Amino acid sequence: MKGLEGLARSAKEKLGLDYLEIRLEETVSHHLSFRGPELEEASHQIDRGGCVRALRGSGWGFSSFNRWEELERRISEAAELARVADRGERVILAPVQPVVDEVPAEVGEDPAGVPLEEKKDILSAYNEIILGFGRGVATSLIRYFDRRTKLTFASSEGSLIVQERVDLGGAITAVAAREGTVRQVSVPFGSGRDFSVVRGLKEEVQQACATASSLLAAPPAPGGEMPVVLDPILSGVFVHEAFGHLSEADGMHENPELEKTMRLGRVLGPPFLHIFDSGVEKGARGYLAYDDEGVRTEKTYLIREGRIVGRLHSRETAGKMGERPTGNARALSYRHPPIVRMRNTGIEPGEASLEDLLAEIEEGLYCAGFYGGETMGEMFTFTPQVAYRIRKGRIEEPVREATLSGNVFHTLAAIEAIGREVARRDDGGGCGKGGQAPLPVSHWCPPIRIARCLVGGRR
Amino acid sequence: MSREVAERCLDRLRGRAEAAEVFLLVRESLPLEWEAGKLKKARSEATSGLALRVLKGGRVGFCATTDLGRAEEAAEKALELASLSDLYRGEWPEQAPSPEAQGFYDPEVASLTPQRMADTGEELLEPIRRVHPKVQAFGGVAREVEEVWLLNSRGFEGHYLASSFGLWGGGELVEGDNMLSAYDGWERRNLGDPEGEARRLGKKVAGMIERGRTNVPFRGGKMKVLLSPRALAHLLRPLVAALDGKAVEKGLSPWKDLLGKKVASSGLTLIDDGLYPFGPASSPFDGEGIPSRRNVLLDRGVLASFYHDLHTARSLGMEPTGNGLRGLFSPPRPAPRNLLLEGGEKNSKALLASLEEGLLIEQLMGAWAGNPYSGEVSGNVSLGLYIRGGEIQGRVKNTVLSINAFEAFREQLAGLSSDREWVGSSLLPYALFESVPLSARG
Repeated sequence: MKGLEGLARSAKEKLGLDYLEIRLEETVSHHLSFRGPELEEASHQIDRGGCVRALRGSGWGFSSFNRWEELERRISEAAELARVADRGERVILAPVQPVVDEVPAEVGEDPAGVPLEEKKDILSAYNEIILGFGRGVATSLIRYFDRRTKLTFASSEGSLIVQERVDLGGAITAVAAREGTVRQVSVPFGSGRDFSVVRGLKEEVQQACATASSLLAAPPAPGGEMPVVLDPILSGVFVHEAFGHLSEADGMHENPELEKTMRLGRVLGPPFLHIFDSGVEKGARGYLAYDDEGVRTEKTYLIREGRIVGRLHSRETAGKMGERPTGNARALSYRHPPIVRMRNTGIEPGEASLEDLLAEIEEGLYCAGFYGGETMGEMFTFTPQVAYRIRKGRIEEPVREATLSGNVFHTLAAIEAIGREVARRDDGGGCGKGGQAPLPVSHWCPPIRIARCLVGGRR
Repeated sequence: MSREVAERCLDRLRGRAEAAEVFLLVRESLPLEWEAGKLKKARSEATSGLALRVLKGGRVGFCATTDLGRAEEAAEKALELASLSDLYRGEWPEQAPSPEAQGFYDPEVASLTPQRMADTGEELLEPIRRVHPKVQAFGGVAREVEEVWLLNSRGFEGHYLASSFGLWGGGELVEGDNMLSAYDGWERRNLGDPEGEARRLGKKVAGMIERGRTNVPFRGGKMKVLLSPRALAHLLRPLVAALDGKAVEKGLSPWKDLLGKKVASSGLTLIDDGLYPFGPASSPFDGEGIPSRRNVLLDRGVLASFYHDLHTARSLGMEPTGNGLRGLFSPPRPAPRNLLLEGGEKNSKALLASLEEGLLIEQLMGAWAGNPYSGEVSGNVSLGLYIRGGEIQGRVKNTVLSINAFEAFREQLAGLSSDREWVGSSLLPYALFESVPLSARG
């Protein structure tokens, strides 16, 4: 697609725009799913499309399409839509150096090199473990996908970047059922590089079966405020919901009140708390060399020594706030314009072992795995897959799932201890925002202890 | 031109498989979006693509593409994948449904101009902007037209046009460390009176912000809770999962053996209607060519039917219900159409006025997360108002609701409002539940 940046530049001049970018995308993906003994779905997808984003004054016009031969018409359409949306204060994009680059996919074991039959056989072996487990484990759910994407980005400023990306993920779920009670426990997997994460999960699948079985008789969780220890997986969802979303500058670049509340330098956590969001860890699903505005990614610190030190930017939010773009403008696909999103969000490891984290707790909850989480304003939720009572520093019986909830102004300050083991591990889910889900993200985190966290329970 | 591609694919597969099916989708949408009180983005999205299912040796292969130039390659791929899958039990239809069904397409939606959409959005945002000078209003106006072709080698040929018009709006208010966010929106297949409805929606959101501005202390406990239609949708999720023919077939549904039995309060009647005039999920036939229809799922608390695609209906020996829904990239599977929850006698104002002490929950956050088949629903009360003596006292914060939806609809349901609202493709009333556990930071 040589010359695409020239087309973008001449269209920008001819149509009287401030900026114009073109993205073209080709993705080939495979999906496999089991429910119970049967392979329910084996599918293959070929997705090819593109989009044009045009800026004029205050307005963004965007046009996405499947037929590349329509490109010129779609450029005019995006320009026309930008005119409709141009009704206010001019958007200033933070300056970046134009880049011409090619970024090939860096793969370990390439999923494209593994025949579909072999993928099916690997998953079938896990399925047989679940179906043969007994003890109330009744059925299974297994989901797997992989995709390879070629992205071309060209801007009227002269950038032309071609990137190849590999993404894969899924989950192996054991379902236990008895007398109308259904419990499930999953082993998630995901990678931005390597099919081998799908291999070698046998023991974890057995463990998931045992856990699902033990949950059949589990009582509801206790409700109220209590100390909680989060395993590295849930700790990742916690940091994503507790602080990641509030660091996205598109929530504050035009909201002076929020900018004041979340001002740089404000202390929100203990001095040993450091939170970052990074695009540079190869192999993570949140890894990307350039974001979807052609900005080189980096490791961005959001909190250092408990203080707010940074935020996540697109070129527009950085331009408005007089800061530097961080490479966080991401689009789910060519069907969407880029918006400010996280990449790999984490907490820097501390010193504590798991025993240290549990040791001082008289009564509390140990929470592991995740179902999901959400943020609204200063409040957020994160839901573990399994929770166990902690008594006198020991993990005891499981309780049913319950949503944990926090408030950024209390909960970060209540982090008492941070573990030393970071789980460099991804799942097959993703983040949702502005109708763009699931976007691949990572959370490479250590376990943490929170002195007081609100647990929704029925007792 | 697209249709010719579909026929070429079918021809290519004829004689090489027991049956083949082509689903073709052409969609044009135009959403306009407001951020920080201002129109910010105007987007056009054009999608065209096809999906193929091939039945060979009693097994189905699936391949989809948006690259019509590679349609024949996709057909070969689908044929190849069929050998991997397990046995498929559905029987694809031979005859197209009667062309009389209506209420899916409104030409006024298709001809709506971006200029009129921009003006409609301004009407929506105006009441929200006026609540408080620091409110950040956001919103959107969207129109969409889609054309669907479904052809199979058994002779079925179906085609329809469907339109969709949507409005959404919200506001965020930050006052120091106190943040408030309110949101509402809907979509449907006809245009109606967009400016008038935009103003009504804007005023509704403005009212939510107004009522939520004052916080009151709250210690939690068990009490009566009146859920807005939007919050109620979270409680309905486990029921919808339990009614899914796929979950029944696979033994996941806690209701799998309870057909004809009472599973909920006799006040609860839930209907799935694929033909509801201009309902957001209405269409003449489903993703497999089965005519859309109206099915009673729960009849005064009695489990009357599940919803199915062809495969689940056949493998359970039940009647197909026209619920095999699909996206371009996902094969048909059971999904609800327009879900209609019957209302009660009193309106929501009267239900609220009857509360001596309780909460009105407008919005729940995070309550979608969890295993739906367990029924456990737990979420942060992101917008909840404390009620005493039938009057709103103020907003409660840092509070989590936890309930088991199956138990709640059986034992705790105390009333449903006569007024209903669309939440996605569900038409829901306000619902009053008794002794609901609420944990609060205090």
